[in-house]
Amino acid sequence: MKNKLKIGVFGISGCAGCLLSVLYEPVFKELINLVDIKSFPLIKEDKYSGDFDVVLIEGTVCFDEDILTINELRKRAKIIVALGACACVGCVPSIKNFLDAEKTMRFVYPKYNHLKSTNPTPIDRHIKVDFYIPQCPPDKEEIMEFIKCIIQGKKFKPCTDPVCVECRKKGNPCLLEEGRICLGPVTNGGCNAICPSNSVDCYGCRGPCKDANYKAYVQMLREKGYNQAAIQDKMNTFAGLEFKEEVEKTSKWLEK
Amino acid sequence: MAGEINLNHICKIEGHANLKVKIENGKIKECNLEAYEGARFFEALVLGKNIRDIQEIVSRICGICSCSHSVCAIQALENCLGVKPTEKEKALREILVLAERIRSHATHLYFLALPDYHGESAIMTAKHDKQKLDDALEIITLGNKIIETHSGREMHPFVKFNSENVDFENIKKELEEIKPVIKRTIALFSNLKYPDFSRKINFSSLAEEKTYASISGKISCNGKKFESEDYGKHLKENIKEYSTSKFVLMDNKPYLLGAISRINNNHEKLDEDIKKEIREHHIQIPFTNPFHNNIAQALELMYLVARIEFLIKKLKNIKDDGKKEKEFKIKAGKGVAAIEAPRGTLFHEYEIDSDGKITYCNIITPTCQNLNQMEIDIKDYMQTLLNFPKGKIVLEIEKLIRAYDPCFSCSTHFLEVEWEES
Repeated sequence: MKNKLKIGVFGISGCAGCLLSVLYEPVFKELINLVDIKSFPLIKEDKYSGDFDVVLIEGTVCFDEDILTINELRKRAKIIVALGACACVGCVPSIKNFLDAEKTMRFVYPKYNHLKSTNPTPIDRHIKVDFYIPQCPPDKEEIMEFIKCIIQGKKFKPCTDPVCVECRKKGNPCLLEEGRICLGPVTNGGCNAICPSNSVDCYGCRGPCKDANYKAYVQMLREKGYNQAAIQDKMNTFAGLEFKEEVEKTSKWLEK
Repeated sequence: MAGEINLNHICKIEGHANLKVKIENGKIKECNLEAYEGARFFEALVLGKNIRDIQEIVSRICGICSCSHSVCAIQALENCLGVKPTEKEKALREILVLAERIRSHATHLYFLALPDYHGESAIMTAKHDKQKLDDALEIITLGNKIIETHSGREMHPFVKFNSENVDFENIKKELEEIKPVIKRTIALFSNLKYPDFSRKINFSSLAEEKTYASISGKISCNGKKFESEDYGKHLKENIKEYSTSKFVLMDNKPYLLGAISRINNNHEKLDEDIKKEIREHHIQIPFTNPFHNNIAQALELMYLVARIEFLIKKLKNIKDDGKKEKEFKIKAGKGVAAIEAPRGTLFHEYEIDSDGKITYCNIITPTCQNLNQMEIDIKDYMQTLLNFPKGKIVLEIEKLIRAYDPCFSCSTHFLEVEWEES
């Protein structure tokens, strides 16, 4: 075990789906041969108090304790990895940033005020993140690729071409042409266009594509009859905070 | 003995939870099970969203039971629109929900529960008990493969209002091959040394006249039955200040859901070869010991495989009625659906406006409904343990908590309903 990397797999507020992706075949069996899993509270008593080479974190920061947890892990880990869409881009919980906070609280917990909740945010708004394994749920092959890169000292960088590149290669019918709001042109690929391949619109879960032409994209959707609210609504579903920043950088369409 | 016992960050459960116990004069005064997760407000997140986006959002409540949330949402939304699923869709949805239950049970049994009885090394290292790790992953992988074949990926599946045809030919052989693995699982879990903790519990599950209910039926508890639409009259949610979860009572009483309740309420409908296993391993049904939820889960694995085989055959015989898709028009309405998720009965309720936008949503997950019973059981069980050293008490209590297979990811986002007392 001496030369094996010391790994921790942790979750903050989330659905545990990314943790399960690490547990399921083929990841877990390979992982226990390749690395030394020091902590994995989902399946193991968390008795280890030493340092880690790599810590994978699942989940969205949803309350103050999450911030404490990830800061603590940052101190103990050489490399912090955001695992999955929640940790990378905020995912579905981050929709709350675009709602009236008071109304949201009152709708779910009408009479009580005991909840400590913060604006749901990706973990890199609070700590330095070294690597991102995006997507909801993350691709198990990509998790393995990451682990192998780290072990071999290679660089790991997820795809930054838009989803459309892989989607076209697969010969899928274009959902935009069918009149749907598909975020394929403005979202990072690397998912093998799994949603459009199953006739489901891309919801942008791998985050906004930096080189995309947002102005042209929005213009095209407008011409198809969609208003700003409908386009924004789609972008807000999985990576709203990130899309908002990207869009504001490249065009002023939000203000129109 | 006086003082406090605090279990912080209980491991080997889904999600995060703490337990706080106060003891005075040898009696347990307080026992609080606290979900330790940030609230994610799902019911509010779907407001204003289009019905077509809902299953994509609510499946993210939980990684281990995403299929159940998707199917429950789709069925509740269909009820809003007043449309009925076709026979083919019913069979397909049941396969999806059952395959997920296979994966969930195997994950819980081998990775979360077994270490309490065989020690952590039982499964965590490849060198130790290789057979158990192989068995666990083989069962999980079968569940995953069925889900992926059915709806495009293993987790957060693509579930649609109109199901397409699915070819399960590649699964048939594996369903056959898994049977000896499942028999080993039943033998393993029915012969573990469980604490003796027999008690009176209200077991609740869906029930149907002829079949072992999963995606339809009435709520059945202690011989009393009611329709899922009437859940608001029977289930009462309350919030405890120490938790982001809500706690649910049925007709003002605590109750228990999950495999143990399904087997207790529906065991007469099980196939003869499962009954044979029950006899062979001297399993006493109905179960009265919450620790035996593990045995119930192992038995259910055998039922699930047989039922999926049956449904695949049934699908072949369902004739397409020529219509490609069932037709429906978007209109305002409200609807409820209840299905058996891995941990028990899950409720989704929605109201939509005439544009197909969500105006109301309420989701009641199984763990939320189990919390009251769990607290009572923990309190009573701990009372019997107070003479033991603290380390032993903690171990035993964690073992009990894990037996219920709680999911705190699910339980942390509940909507309180304003109740009218009648």
